[in-house]
Amino acid sequence: MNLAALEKHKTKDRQATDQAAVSAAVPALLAERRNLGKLRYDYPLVLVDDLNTADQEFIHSLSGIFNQILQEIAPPGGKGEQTRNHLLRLEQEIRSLVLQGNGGDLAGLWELAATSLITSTEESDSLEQSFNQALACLRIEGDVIDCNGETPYRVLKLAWSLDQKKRADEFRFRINRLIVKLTDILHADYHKSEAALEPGSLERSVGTGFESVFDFAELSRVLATAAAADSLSDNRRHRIQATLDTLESQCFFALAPAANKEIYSFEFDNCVDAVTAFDQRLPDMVALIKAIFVADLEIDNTYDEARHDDYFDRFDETSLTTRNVAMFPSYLVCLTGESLDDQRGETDISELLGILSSSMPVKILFQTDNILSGPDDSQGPFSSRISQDRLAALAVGTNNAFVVQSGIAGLYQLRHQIAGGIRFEGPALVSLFSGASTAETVSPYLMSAAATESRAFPTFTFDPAAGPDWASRFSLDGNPQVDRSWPSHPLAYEDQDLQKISEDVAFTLADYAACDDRFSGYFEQFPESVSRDDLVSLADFLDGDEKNPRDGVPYVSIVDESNSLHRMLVTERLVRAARRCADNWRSLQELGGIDNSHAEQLLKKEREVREEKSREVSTTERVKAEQAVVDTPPNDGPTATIESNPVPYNSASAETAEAPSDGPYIETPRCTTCNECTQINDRLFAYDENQQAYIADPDAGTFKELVDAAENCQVAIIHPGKPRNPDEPNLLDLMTRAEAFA
Amino acid sequence: MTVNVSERLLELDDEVFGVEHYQSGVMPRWCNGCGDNAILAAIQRLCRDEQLPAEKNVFISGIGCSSRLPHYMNAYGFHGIHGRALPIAEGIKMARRDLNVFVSTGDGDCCSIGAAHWIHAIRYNIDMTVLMHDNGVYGLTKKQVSPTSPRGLQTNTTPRGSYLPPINPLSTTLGVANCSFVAQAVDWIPETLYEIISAAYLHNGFSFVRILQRCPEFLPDMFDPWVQSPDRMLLLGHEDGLHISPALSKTYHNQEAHDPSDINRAREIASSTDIIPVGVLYRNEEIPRYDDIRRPRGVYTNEKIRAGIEEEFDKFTI
Repeated sequence: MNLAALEKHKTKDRQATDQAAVSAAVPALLAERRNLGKLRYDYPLVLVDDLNTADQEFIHSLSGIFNQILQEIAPPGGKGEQTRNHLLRLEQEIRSLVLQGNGGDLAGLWELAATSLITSTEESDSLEQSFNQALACLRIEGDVIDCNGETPYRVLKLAWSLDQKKRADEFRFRINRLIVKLTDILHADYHKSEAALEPGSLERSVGTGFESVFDFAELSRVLATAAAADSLSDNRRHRIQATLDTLESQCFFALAPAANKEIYSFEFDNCVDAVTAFDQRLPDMVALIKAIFVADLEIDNTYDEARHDDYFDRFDETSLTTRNVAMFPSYLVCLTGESLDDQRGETDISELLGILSSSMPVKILFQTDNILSGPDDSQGPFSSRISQDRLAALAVGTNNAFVVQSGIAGLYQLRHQIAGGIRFEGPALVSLFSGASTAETVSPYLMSAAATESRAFPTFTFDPAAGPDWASRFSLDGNPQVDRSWPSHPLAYEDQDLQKISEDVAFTLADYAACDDRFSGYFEQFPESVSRDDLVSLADFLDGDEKNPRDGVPYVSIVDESNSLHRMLVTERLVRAARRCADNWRSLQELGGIDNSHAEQLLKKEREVREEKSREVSTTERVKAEQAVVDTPPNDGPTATIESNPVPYNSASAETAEAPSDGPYIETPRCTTCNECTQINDRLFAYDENQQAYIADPDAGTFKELVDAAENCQVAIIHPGKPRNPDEPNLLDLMTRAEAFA
Repeated sequence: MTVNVSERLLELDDEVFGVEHYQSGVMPRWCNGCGDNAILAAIQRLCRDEQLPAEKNVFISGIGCSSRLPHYMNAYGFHGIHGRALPIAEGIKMARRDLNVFVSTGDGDCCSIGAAHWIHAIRYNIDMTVLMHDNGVYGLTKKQVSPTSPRGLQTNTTPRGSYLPPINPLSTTLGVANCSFVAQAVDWIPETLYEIISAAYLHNGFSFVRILQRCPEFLPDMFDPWVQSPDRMLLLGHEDGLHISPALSKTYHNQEAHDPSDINRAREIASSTDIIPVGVLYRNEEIPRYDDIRRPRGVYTNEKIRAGIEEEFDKFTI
C-alpha cells in the first residue's frame, strides 16, 4: 500500500487546482443536494406547543403539512395541477425564507411568502385564490424552525414541556380530588359538632335575606337533640389535617394553573445540579406520596390504625417505585459536547452515567456539534476522555435508560421515539448530532445526514420497557441500508470524453470527513507515480482487515465547486478511523439482529450436526424414511373447515369419572342451582361453595325424596342409586321410577 | 424496592370473602327450576373469585322476573322502572367510575319497552356488564308474548299464537355502531355461564350477555331439544374467549374455534337458528367509551360549584 500517492482524475475541468478541489469540495454523492432551497425535505419543522388532542403530533414537517393540504384541495391529475403547482411554489418560498434566517410562526411566514409570490408574478389572482383556499385548510399553528444548532434544544424542550403539562394536569386532578374529599370529611365532622349547631353558626349558614324568618335559638335546641353521636377521633382528625397540609403545601406542581406560588424548577444545564436538586426534594416527595396513600385510605374509610400506623411510620424513600415517582415532574438536563470539555464536565460525565444507571426520572439532551476530531486535535488515541459519539452506546450498556441517538436531519422521523423517551418512567438520554460545526461548505442538515449515512453517527433507539429481549428493545430504524457496512448509491458522471458513466459509490466515513474543510488534512493529492490501476475505493479497501490489508491506494470521490469529479487519497489516520467506525457499526448491527454472529455460529453448528447425521443414516434407512414421508399426508394439503371439523380446546383428556356406586350421586358441575332438590330436603341435598348441589348426607332423607328430586331436576343430574333402607314403603315402584336415572 | 406500595397495602387488607358474603339473606322468590337461580349463583361466584368489595358493586334492574336479582345481592342496588335499567346504570357509572356496574334485564324489559335505551347503551359503550335474562316470555305477569317468543307461541295476549318471528338480540347488538362485547350463555351449562359472565365483567366497555334461560312455569319445554341434545349446541372456544374444559368437551362435541375479534363470523354465528351458540361472539377493547371520553377533567371543588351556580343565577338577575 502506498498512502503517500495521490492521483487526480478530472472529468470536466482539468485546469482546476488541486487545492481548490480539496477546500471547496463535497463528497460526490452529496453534490446534487448542495442547494437545499430546491429540495423538498423534512425541514423546516413546525413546533406545536398547544395540542388540542392527545394523539396530535407536536412536530410537523412543512412538506407534510403541504402534502395534507394538497390531498384536500388538489385532486390528482390535471384538475389539481395548477393548485398543486402554486402550493409547491409557496412551500419552496417559505423554505427559502427560513434558510435565509427568517423565523416566527407559520402563519406569519405563510403571509410573507404568499405576498412575495403574488407581487412578483402576473398570475397573481389565481395564486391568491389557491393560497386562500389552502389557508382555509391549514390547521397547524406553531413556530417554524430550521435545521441548525438550536434545533435539538427546541425540539426536546417542547416534547418535555408537553409531557410536564400532561403530568401536571393528572397530578392536579388527583391532588385536588384528595383535598376536596378530605376537606369534606372534616366539614361533615364539623357540622355534627356543638359549635356548628350554635345559633350564630346556624344563622351564618342560612345567609342573608331570610334570616328574620328563622328562630335560630330554637333551631339550635331542636337540632342538638338530633345531633349524631359519632365524630372523628382526635387521631384521625389530626392525621387528615396533617395529610391535607402536606397535599396543599407541595411545590412540585401548581395546584391551580395560575396559582401564585413558588414551584420547583426542573430544567438544568448540568447533571450535578439536577442530582442535587433531586436529592434535596426527595424527602418532600416521600412525604407527598405517603400523604396520597393515607388520603386514599381515609377517603375509602379503610385506614386501620392497628395495621397502617406502623407501616407508614417506616415509609421512606426505599418504599418508592418508579411508578410512584412517575407522577412527579421529570428533570431536563441539556448538555453540549463543549460543556463536557472542562473539569466540571468530567464530574458531570460521571454523574451522567450514575443517572443513567439509576431510576431517576432525568431526561438528558446531549448535543454534539463535532464528532470527528481534526488532524490538529490534541486528543489522541490514548486519551481517557469519553468520546462524544460513543456516549449513547455506553448508555445502552446500562440496560436501564431509554436511549435515542440520531443526527438532527432524522429528528422528525424519530419524533415518536423522542416523545417515548420523555414519557419513559426512568432516565433517558437523547444524543443528537447537530452538524452545526464550523463547516461552511455544507449546511448542518447535510452534515448531520452525512454523519448518519456514513455510520459516523448512526441512528438507534433502546427502550428498556419495550420487552424482555434485545429484539424488542433495540432498533436501528432510521439508518440507510442497515444490512450493509456502508450504504451505496448510484453516481452518474461524464468522463473526459463526455461519455456518461454510472457506478455504485459507497458513502464512507471519509465521505463524511470530506464535507468539512477542517478535515482537508485527512486527504492528500496523488503523486504522478501512482498508477490508476492501484486505485481502490475506500469501501473496497476496508474489506480487508487491519492485519491483512488489501493492496492498492484508497481514494474517495469528491466534487468541487465547478462540479468536477476528483479522486483524493485517504490518509492512514482516516483509514484507521473508518475501520473503527465500521467496527462500531458492525457491533450495532449485531445488537440489532443483523448477521448476528451467535446465531450464525449456532446455525453453522446445527448444519454440521445435520450433515453428520445424514451421513450416518444408511441408504436403506434413508429409503425407509423417504417412504414414510411419502405415506404421510402433506401438511399443507386441504384441511377441513372449522364448521365441518370442530376444534376442541383442551386436548388433555378428561379426568376419569368415578365409577357409579350403589349410592346416590349428583353431577355437581352441571347443577343450575334451581332449588328443586334443596326444597325437597335441604339436609339430603346441599349447595357447595359454587352454589351447586351435592348429596350432603344420603341418610338424611328417604329413597322417595331422591327419586322425586331426580324426576324434578331440570337437567336430570340426580342419580338415586339403590335404596339404603329395605323397609321403606313402595320400594318396588320407586326402584322402577329410579331406573330412568341409573 | 420492587414491591409497590399499593400492593403492600392490599396485603394488609387481605380479608377473604366467600359466596355467602355476597348473598343478601333474602331467599330468591323465583320458581323452582328457574334459570335465574343459575345466573345469580354465577354472579355470586364471580364476586367471590374476583374478591369484589360488596360496597363497590351496584346491581341495577328494570321490571320482570330477572329484575328481582338486585334484591338477592349484598351490594348497592336499584330496582328501576320498566325498560329503564340502562339509563340508570349509565348515570351511576358516569358519576361513580369506581363502581362495578351490573345490569339485570329481561327479554321484555330490554328488547321491548327498553329497546331505545338498549341501542344507545351499546353505542355509548359505557363500562358495565349487562345480563339479559332471555326466557322468551313475560313470566312475572303470567305469560304474555315477548319480543323473543318463538313464532306461534300461544299466550294470554296471543291466544291464536304469536304472529311474528322473534327479534334476535345478538344480531341486533352486533349491528349497532360502537358495539364492543357480545356473548351468549345458557343457564343449563353453569360452567360456561360463569366463564362468560366473568369475561364480560373483565371486558373494558359495555358487555352484553344474552342468557337463554328456562321458564319452568310457562315455557317448560321450550329449550328441551337443546338441553337433551348437546350436539345441537355450538361451543365457541378461543384463547381470547371461552375456554372449554376437557370434561365439558366430553358432553359437548360440537365446537368451533371462533376468534372474538372476527365480527363478520360473529354475525354469521349470531344468525344461527337451529343451533344455539355459546361463547364470546365479539370483543373489541379498542372501541371508545363514552364514560372515558366525557369523564370530568377537573375536580369540582365547593368554590367551583358555587361559582357555577352563581353564574347561572346571574343570568336571571333583574
